[in-house]
Amino acid sequence: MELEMKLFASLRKFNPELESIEVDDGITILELFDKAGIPPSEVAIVLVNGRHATLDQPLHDGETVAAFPPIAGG
Amino acid sequence: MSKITKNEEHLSQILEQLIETTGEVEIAIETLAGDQGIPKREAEALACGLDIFPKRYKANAGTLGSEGQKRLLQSKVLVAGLGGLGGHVVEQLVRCGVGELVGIDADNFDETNLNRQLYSDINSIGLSKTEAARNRVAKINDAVEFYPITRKLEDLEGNTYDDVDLIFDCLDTIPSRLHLQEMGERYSIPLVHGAIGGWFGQVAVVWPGSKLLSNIYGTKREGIEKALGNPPFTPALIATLMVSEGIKLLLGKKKRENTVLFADLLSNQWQNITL
Repeated sequence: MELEMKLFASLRKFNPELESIEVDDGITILELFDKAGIPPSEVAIVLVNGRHATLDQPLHDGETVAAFPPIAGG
Repeated sequence: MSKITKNEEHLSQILEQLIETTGEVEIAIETLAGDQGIPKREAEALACGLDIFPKRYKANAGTLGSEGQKRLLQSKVLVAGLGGLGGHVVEQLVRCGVGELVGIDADNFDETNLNRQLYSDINSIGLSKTEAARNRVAKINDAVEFYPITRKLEDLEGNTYDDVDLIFDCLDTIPSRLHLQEMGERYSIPLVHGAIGGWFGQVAVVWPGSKLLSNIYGTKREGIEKALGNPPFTPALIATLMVSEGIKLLLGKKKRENTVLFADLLSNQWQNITL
């Protein structure tokens, strides 16, 4: 199946050209990050089709996964 | 929000007469405050109530309206953290004419602050951030009351939050931000949250009970700024967005929603997400 990917801010550097990715059916977000070379430790928020998601959530064909890093400086 | 304790109508009449006899709004405000023993910000609020703008707020008029300006003058806002974000936030709140500001920071300025923290300069190295902010506020607007608190957020008395209408989260660690979220919840005060790291930043309004910061940070206890640092332009931008969100909240122009605005200044991308 194919997923759309949107990496935000500092996460882009891990896979700058990534826009979509071909993966096995039923893959979880954590497995997806592993395949795409994104360290889960760098991710604070994940959205699937705009909805807040957890790392163990299984994905479906055509979904869009967006990831944001933790930003905390002041 | 502070209320004018003496009879507002009566004081407004006196102010109107003073404006007529002196021909100068500023002198009339000064005289009213002195004669009646009321804070200058309250005398200014009375002027706004008469649809008369003190000159220093004239350029706010078209945006805020006289009712809005009056409301800001009668508002009390707490700014937690007076570093990169907090300096710019205080600067803009004072110029907006927010009547009372509580500024909290336990630190003194050092050389590493000079690239971005508005109130740091060669002469203020070693000075407490609260003292520097107080000095600055007094130079800009003598009607605004600034209450400096040079302590750690976690050590504050509960009464620090008394009568506070709005809190600005300009802190720099996740645990202290979560503590502030808890205080906002305990005292039913909304928070304007801002955070920065490198080219990136985020802004959100945290409504009491929403636990939005817990949803943003999850299990993370450190942000990307540890590796990326903070350049001068990101805090200025994020602080500006925070203040415009805060002013909308104070004026009742903000509807309740749990959204976060992310700014990526490297690729010029803006993303508004709902959690």
